[in-house]
Amino acid sequence: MALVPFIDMLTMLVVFLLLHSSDAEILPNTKNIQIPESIADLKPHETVTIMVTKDQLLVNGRVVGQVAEVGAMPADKLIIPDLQSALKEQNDRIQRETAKEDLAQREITIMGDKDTPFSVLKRVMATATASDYGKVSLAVIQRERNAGAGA
Amino acid sequence: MASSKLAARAIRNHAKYRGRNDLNIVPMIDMMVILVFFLLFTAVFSNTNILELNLPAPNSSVPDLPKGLQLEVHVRHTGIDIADRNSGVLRSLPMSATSGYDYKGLSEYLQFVKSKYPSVTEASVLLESDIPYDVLVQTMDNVRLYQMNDAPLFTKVELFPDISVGDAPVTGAAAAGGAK
Repeated sequence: MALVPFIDMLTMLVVFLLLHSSDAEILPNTKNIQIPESIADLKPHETVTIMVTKDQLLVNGRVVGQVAEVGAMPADKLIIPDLQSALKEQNDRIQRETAKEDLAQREITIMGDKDTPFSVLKRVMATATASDYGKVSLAVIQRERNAGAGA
Repeated sequence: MASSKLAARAIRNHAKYRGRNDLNIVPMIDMMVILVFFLLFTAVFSNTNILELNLPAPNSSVPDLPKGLQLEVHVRHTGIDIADRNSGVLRSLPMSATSGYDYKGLSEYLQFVKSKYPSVTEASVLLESDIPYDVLVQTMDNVRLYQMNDAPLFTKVELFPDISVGDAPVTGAAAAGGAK
């Protein structure tokens, strides 16, 4: 019957797409920020996520501050109070179990926009470590292999 | 009787499906098409990965600096400096107007450093305050790994994977360790 090749193709497509969507999405969608490309190949874990967009600071999807305000903070002030209280709250809600084990082993993932200045990023990282998140990771997009060679 | 009812049904069905010797696959195709569309729309084709940092805990005291190489990479607006904390700048890679930062030169020089000090795995990337995040990630990439150009494998060679991040010392200031 003429439908058989069609079914073959559909089956192949279904299997291909199933395999590709098998690794569950852990990090939130990143349409409104451009995160940098990298050759890193470590998979993200389930962690608390700080997102730094062009103008806002979000913890697990909740707005906690404005990037412009953080950038305008005095140079010697490293802790962002609003972010710290939001992170402490995460501790209590989600991470109570792991927090019992070891404070320094808790992880946090920072998703930053490409153009975030380092002064903002530094304060975000300092706040994360001050809020007892020992392991800080940066989210990146995997670069095409050949494009990354020698770069 | 039950058995005669079953037998009657078998005879009836036999008569009904006589001559139809192919499977009805139309519902299956319907379902497949729906599945394909569903999976296509939920599929993500950009792979998000993570870079792990090696940041010190805020209350930990400054560890005794081991002897030997304390590699630092200073990223400034004018270019990238590769330095040793004890002995100062090893090499300056000025930024070119056309192609931006000299990541290639950085990678090559770090490969040279790695060949001299194969046991060192730590490095600090120190940035001036308004360097964009993208530059940090690209610099970290080049400090962590070196990707060989042996297509199609693109083998990754480890250089200095334990990276900490901090503030770049002010130019001219003597031996400022800015790691936060």
